[in-house]
Amino acid sequence: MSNKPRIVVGLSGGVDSTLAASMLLEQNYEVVGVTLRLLPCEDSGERRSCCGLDGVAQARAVAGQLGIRHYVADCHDAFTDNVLKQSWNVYAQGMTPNPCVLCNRHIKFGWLLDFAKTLGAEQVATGHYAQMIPDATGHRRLHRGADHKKDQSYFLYALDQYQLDAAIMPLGGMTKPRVRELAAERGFVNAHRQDSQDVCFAVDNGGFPEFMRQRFGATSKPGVLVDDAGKILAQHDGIHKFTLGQRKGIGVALGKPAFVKSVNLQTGAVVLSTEKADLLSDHTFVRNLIWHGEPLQQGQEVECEVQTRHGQKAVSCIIRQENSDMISVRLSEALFAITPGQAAVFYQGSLVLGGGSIVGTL
Amino acid sequence: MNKIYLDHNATTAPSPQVIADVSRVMAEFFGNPSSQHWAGQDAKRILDVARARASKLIGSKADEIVFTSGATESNNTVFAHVAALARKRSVHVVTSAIEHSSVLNSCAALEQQGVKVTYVQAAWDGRINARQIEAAFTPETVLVSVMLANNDTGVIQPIADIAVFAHARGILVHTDAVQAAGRIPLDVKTLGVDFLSLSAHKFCGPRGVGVLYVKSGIELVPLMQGGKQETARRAGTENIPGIAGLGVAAEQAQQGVSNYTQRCVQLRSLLQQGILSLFPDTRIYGETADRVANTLSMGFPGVDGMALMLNLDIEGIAISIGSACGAGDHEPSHVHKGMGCTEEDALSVVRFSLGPENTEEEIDATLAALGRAVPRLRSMRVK
Repeated sequence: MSNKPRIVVGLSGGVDSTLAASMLLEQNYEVVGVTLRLLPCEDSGERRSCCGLDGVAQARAVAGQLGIRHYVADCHDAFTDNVLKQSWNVYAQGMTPNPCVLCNRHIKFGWLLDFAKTLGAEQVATGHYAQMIPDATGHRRLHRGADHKKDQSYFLYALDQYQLDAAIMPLGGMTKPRVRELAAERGFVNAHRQDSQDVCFAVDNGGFPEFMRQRFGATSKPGVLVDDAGKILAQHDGIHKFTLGQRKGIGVALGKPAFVKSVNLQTGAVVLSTEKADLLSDHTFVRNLIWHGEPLQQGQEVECEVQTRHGQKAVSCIIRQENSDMISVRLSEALFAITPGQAAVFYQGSLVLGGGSIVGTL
Repeated sequence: MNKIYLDHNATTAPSPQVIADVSRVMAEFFGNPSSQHWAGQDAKRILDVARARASKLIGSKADEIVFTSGATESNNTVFAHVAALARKRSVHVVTSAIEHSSVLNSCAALEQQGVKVTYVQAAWDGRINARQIEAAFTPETVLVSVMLANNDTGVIQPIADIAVFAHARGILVHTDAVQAAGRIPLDVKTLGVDFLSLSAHKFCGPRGVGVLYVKSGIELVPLMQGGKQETARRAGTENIPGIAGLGVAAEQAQQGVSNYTQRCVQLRSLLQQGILSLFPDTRIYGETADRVANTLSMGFPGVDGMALMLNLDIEGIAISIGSACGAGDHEPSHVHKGMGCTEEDALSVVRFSLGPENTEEEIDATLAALGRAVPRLRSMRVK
């Protein structure tokens, strides 16, 4: 029996999680690699993604190179219930879900953490670019990754304190070029492999929502595409294929680049616009808030910064707890296509204060 | 890390003599046994020696041995033979619910072709009742296929009794003897079988080579079409190094049975008693039946067998659960379900399968690891 602390590393087969595992080995952890199979084989077979067989074989190869135990864990039931179904429910509402937020909360630091505990490990490590830094009271708080281009804290805001306490992200303080350098130095078989991104579903032309509609045998509200003036341009077979600000795959030509301005759940109407200004907004509403500090009181305001999508520059804002379920966000500058269903994540500098789901804008 | 291997029912390490002979044959006898020239003749002699050794292991005639790629192919061949019969008339097959997947899935494929199949359940002690098998026979029954020793529990099945009942009605008898070779004395005449399957790697031979015993007089319909190898019963150039290794392993298995049994019984009692004194509520499956000496199937109430297996693996101890799927999505073993276990009980089962090279120290280390993992897994159960 080993006296080293045991830790589970989510191994995708990519260079990030491989280096994370290797660094933990060097820090004298007893590392156990686990690759999650998120979809049944028949679904993932053709996809080049972190859930595919391709990733499993890569993960097996690097585990062999590192000399660590490696298990492939099927968690497609949990993934289907907590990520896919919930995502579909959001699409069916005419909104755009964020499956990565759900996956981090329910799968990578949910199901996998439970699984790690059955293996006698108290912590789960991943190759995420985010940092866990103790605050003055000793609580581990979520911060942006040091590499702001790769920062994945946006996708991690929904972890609770129990999950943050168990999360280890060895790459949080590093840049991607440095990661590749260290991986190459260590001679990892995948050092030069293409990035997998946080997204398991490389989606072209709305492939992910349509994939899920078929998977759940669901129906989606059909309707018409109209221009600003209400003129009917075309029919469409489901609102789930449209997201705010979308330009590609709309299927009509307006002479100028057109994008989705709004989606009406009741009528199925999708309004297109050629005026970018139509989609700028500096006032939005957020619910299902997950707040990492002291809970906000009704009427309380906080000055901070907000990000309404991954990779976006944070914009300063004032948030206000309007009622028990809703906060308003007034931004210092208008943002394009603040999209219902997506996450709004609040920061002070690198510190993640919390986040929630965007309901709509004014 | 110390590595402890307690999964001999999955596969066994080849003996040094086997490794030496496989290497020697591969290096020195490259000829195609079907060739008429010196190279072919040399290779053919290797084949003859191995065939004689294999036949000695099961008490058959040499020409009743057909070399295959392993028991899965052997089993498939038997069912291909049945499928050929089914093209001429309506046929029925009797098997058990606790067979290996190569039998169960072959039966399922036959059912797709309209063949009727009866699956007889095992009793609570893991035994198949020969009278129940007999009761399942119909005038259309052409084959009964029951394994000699079960892979999960080690329970030895009453093949000789089944054969008596079957032959009284002209029904062919097949047994998958994969888990019995080298563990109990084997004799096809005593068993009274018409077909018997073996895999070399279960008795310290190489992987990828096996035997189908076909009783003289049976016109086997081959599974593999091609040349006239194996007297037209299995086409394809013979795996001469593998077959040579099988021959050596067969000879060692035959000579070593009594030592094997003595040593494994000793180690298994140590493990079984140790577990029972640590966890008195542990269930032993197949304890009251005759078991092969090396197999111990135990249920740890309140523990997920998969989690226990992984916990031991992290400490370097290789054991097994009934049926291996992906970690995390643990299906209960069909063997334990076939013995009437509840789903929850079946999920709590792990299998230790020992080998004579295991040591008392390894058993102690395993008990210590169980002593750490089982209480922790139990305490986590209430979520």
